[in-house]
Amino acid sequence: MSDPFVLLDSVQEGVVVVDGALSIRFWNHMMASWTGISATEATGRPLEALAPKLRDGRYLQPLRAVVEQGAPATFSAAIHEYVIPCPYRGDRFRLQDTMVRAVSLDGETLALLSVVDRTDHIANIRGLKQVNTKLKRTMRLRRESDRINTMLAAGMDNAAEAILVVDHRGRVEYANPMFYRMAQLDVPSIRGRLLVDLLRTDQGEVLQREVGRAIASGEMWRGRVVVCRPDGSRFPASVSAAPVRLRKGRRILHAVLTLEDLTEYELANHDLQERKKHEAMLTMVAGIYHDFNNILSGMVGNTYLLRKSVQGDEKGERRLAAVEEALNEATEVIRGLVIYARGEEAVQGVLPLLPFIKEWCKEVRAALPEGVELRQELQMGHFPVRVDVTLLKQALMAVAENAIDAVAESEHPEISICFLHNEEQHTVELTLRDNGCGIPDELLPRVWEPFFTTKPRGTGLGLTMAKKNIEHHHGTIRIESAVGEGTSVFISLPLAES
Amino acid sequence: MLSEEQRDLIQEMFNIGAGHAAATLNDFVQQRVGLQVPEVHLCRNGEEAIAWMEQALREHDLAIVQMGFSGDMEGSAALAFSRRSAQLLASMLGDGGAEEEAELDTIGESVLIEVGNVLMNGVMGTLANMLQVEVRYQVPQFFHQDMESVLGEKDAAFLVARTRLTLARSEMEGLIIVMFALHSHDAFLKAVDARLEEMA
Repeated sequence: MSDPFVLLDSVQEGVVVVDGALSIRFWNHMMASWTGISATEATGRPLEALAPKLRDGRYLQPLRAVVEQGAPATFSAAIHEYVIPCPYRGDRFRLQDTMVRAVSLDGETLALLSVVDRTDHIANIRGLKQVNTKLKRTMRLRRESDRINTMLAAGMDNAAEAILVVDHRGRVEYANPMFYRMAQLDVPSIRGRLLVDLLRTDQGEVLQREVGRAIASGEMWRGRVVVCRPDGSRFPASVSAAPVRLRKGRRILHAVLTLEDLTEYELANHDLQERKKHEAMLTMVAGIYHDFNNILSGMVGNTYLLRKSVQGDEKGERRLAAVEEALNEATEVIRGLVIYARGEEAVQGVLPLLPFIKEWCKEVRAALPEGVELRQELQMGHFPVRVDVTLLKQALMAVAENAIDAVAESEHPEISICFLHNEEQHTVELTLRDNGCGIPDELLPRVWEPFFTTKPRGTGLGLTMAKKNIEHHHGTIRIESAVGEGTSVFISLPLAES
Repeated sequence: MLSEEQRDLIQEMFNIGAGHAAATLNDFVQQRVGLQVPEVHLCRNGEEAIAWMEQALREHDLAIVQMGFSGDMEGSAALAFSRRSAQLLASMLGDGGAEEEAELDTIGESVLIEVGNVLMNGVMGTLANMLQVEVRYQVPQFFHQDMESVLGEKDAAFLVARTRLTLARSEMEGLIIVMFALHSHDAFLKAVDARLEEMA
């Protein structure tokens, strides 16, 4: 009888046929080739002898079910690797899908194992999967990198600081929109342009130098500069230059330069300092007022008592009257101080201003050193102004004293006082001019600051109080000056409603 | 028509078979496999059978392992997974871990064929044993299609049993389906009746 399975020698799969006792009935050429066990050696032997995994119930039971119930069984290479070990390169075995199905031969149920070699296929697929995984990872990283780049670009575009990336040759690689705004550059791009051509500072080429140093040393620099814009305006800026290494292990060839406009910060800081100074002055003035008031109270009391003692002594009474007048003036001055210190409303009354101005002019004239000429131009008229005489006099005297001091070194010292009615504005305008030394431009804004003085014995309070007093009268005071030419003080006071 | 007793018995037998299948899958995946109460439905033709099976599916892009059978019972058994669940299961069993975006390749298909084979053997073996019938099985096949691929013939009436299995931890779910083609004087229904008589 011919072998019923002989045709299966020709197929490109491994084929094994076992009987109900799981003894090998047929072992095809492919199995012989893979295992190195010939059909003659294999036939008749229990399958378990050539497939040790069958000692495990997970393999044996499905195989028995095939011959006993006819239910097929499959063993995937991905789960089991193999059922019948077939050596493959070194210690490894071929990866095989094994399908077992029942076949009937002459009334006997046999199990036919068809074994498909998957070694190369699985290696290829796993290789492809690895490539695919790497590719996906690269794409994920690229997407993440793109996301971060987009975020960074948006951040740079919206940054409150000007940001520039500069290369080692001092050429701009990137500048954010704030830099264009800050430097007032109205060009589409400054890429490739030299930093030195774009940014000028009060410290010359400090930025170029520090950028170069940051790139060479790898260290950050921070500083403060005043940046000069193309239109001549300037602004203070906090600057940092940090080295940028584009890739790990590569040389540093770039630096990132950031500029923050400090204008508002410094103004706020200046205001804060002014407020602190003012508060200190108020404290001091309050202290002076308290002490002086006590002293003056004592003096007034004693003068009162003294009046009785000198009664009938004409000379003594006259001198005592002068002392009392001086005491009254001192009391008014101190009162002026406390009004300023406490921010109290001055006691005001409506009076024609011309007589007051005339009286003040007399006092100025009396105080003039020899050789100083005083010119007056006073418009006649009834100009009612709501004033506190003490405060106004205090303010005008402070202005006059400054003018007198200013002309001390003048060749032909001259002070002029002009008093005019401004019908349009419904004000009176008082102008006091001197041909003295003048005030430098940079000091002019500071003359109103408390304690600011250029005089060796000055208190720095004269103009501060003068301004405060004039403002108490709802008036204005301003100064114009030119060094070597002189100074003009303009005071404007509103006329009272008749 | 199917009597109430016949339906109950088939449902009960299918439930026991599916229970065996779930226990086997539990061994494979090392996690609890949940089973819904099986449903049995008599369909006049293949079209109706497909429609009824598809009711239980949330999606129609399926990975199906199908195994035909003949003899005293004739029909088709199938294990159907959504493509995503199939990928997860194949990846979990084949490569030692679930990879969310992995494509189902031929390695994965062979894994699913084995899983499907074992599960369907569990169901069908239980039915055949309980009804004392002889069944011949075809080798399991993998389809990457819709439910139509499960059907052998379309004109016959079908008794269809289905149950949903879930692997809660892995968020996977699938359907175990057995379709019995019903012919006049069908041996399967006779065997069911014989079993009912035995039990009476």
